[in-house]
Amino acid sequence: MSALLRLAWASLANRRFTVAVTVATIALSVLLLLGVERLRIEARSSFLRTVSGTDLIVGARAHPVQLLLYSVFHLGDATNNVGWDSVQRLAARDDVAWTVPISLGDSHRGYRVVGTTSDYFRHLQTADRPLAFVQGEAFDGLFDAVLGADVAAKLGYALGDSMVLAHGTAALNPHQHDDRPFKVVGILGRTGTPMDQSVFVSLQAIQAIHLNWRSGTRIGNAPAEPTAEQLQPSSVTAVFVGLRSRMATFAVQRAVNEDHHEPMTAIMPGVALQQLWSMLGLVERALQLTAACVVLAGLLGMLAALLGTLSERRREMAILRALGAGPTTVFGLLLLESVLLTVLGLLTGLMLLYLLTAALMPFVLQASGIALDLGWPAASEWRLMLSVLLAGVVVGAVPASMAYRRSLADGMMVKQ
Amino acid sequence: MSEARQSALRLIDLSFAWPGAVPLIRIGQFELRSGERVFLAGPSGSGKSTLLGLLAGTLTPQRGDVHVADLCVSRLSARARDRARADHIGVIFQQFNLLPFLSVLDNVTLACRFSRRRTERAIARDGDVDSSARRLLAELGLPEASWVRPASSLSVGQQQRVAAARALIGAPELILADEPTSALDADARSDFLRLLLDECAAANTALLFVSHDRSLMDRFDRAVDLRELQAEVVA
Repeated sequence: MSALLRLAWASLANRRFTVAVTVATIALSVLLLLGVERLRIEARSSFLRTVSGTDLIVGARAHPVQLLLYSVFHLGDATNNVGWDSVQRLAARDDVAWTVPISLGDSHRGYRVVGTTSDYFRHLQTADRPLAFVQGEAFDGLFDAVLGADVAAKLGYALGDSMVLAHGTAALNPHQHDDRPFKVVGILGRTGTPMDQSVFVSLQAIQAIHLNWRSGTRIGNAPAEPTAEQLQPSSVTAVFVGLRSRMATFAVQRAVNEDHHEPMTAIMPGVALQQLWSMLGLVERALQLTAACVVLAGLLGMLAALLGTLSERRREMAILRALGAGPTTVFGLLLLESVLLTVLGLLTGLMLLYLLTAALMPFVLQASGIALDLGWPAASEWRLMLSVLLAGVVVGAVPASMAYRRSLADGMMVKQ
Repeated sequence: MSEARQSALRLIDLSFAWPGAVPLIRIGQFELRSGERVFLAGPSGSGKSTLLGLLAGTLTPQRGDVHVADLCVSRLSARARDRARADHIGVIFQQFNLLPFLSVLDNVTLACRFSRRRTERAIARDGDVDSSARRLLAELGLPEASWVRPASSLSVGQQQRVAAARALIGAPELILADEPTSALDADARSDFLRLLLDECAAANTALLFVSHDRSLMDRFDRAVDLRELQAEVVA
């Protein structure tokens, strides 16, 4: 075996240019395959951790994915709101540790405005990490605003700057709340979630800027000193709920879904995120299929390279036969070459993947909030590499069996 | 039994035909004694290559037997025939004997990689396989500087000597040489033949030297014409 390995290695070393090209082809295809897999894993885990630390999200009766889409991803609008009394009943439950209501509907230059309480910054987590302020702090005054990382970066806001919210969510909006300018008091760190594209103000502020609005139109100017009663919201868009014990999740969820006072839906964010992700599964599979085809192309390149040398190596096989090698040895030698090429390609591809990951880590983190890691390949990646190796063996069996048949027919004589 | 042990090669009532053709090889009786050096003359098309394939065990006869050393090769399985070839037979081709990507030394020792018997005999003779290869290369007149070079960098004459060293290492009972001098010029031919014959004698290895160059036949113990061998049967 070791003699065969040495022979195969020496023979490959002798054709190092062709071999290098073949290995590079396989390596690049492996890089793509593993890269896609790694991105898929990272994207999935980052997606599934868009909301963490929250046990339930409660909104008006809706499909779980729809509720998730508008409450977490700020996509589309709620058809109905949740009454404030329902929020209070929920918060009063013994098994509920905290509630964070949010009120959506306004925007600032295309970015969604989230009306909430300052508890938002204490309780909500993304990727199991609490929200962090890179500058400033949570809102305190009525017209204070906290900005997500993208909003601050793209619009160039700094602490103390003033900004005006728009009524509705259209990007170019003629209806401005320009009688109530806000002051930037805090900027959040990047999370890689829709929070980065949000402006946070207090629920009371949302009330305040709408006091003088009726049916989407402003009437006069806002009252100078609104009363506490005027600032009390009568309804909110959704409520994030934290429980004292995970065990209570299903009980609370059922209680909300069966509430007599108001038709509501409670979702477990992890489950709803999973549902949403599986809807996106087609894209995932298309990507994987593409990468697999590229690997196949790489291996077919190897097949072409090996088949091309087969005729000129007839003499080599005849010499080995004369020295006492059986046709099985010839088969093994050729197969071993394919395996060596595939393994070299796999190792090079893996090395490229790690180099690329290390090089891109800071950029990916900044652009998407996805923290790539340089750990050992995941189980699914090992499986992929094993499949590539097996495919290499199958492809390698083609020239090997051709050489087998030829050397059986030729014996030690080759017509010159 | 003792008679079989003393012969390096024995053919008995051998007959071989390619599928759908008249028998190409029909030999009643032929023997090479241990250490005997025989010139086998035969023009092209007389079945030399086929005969060599039969002797080496890559072909099997339809009838009759091929004995190499004390083995009846023609009755062995394909795997055992390969093994017998590795253990008991050295082969020298007309040219292109060497793997171009291996060094001269590695080409010589390659013969031992396929045969434990020849490895053991090389070790018994010279201490280890490498020393055995070095001794043979030196005796065959190859400059030491060339031993580590790739085989492809050598001249044709030098390559044939390396091939001879490879056939001789581990002292097999029989060397089959298929026109090994036909690619050499007159001087190189004479030198090569002298060295090969001397080494065979020294190792007590029988040599079957197939050639159509009859000017060489005087230097052998015996010369045989393949057509005469075949005619004996027909007659």
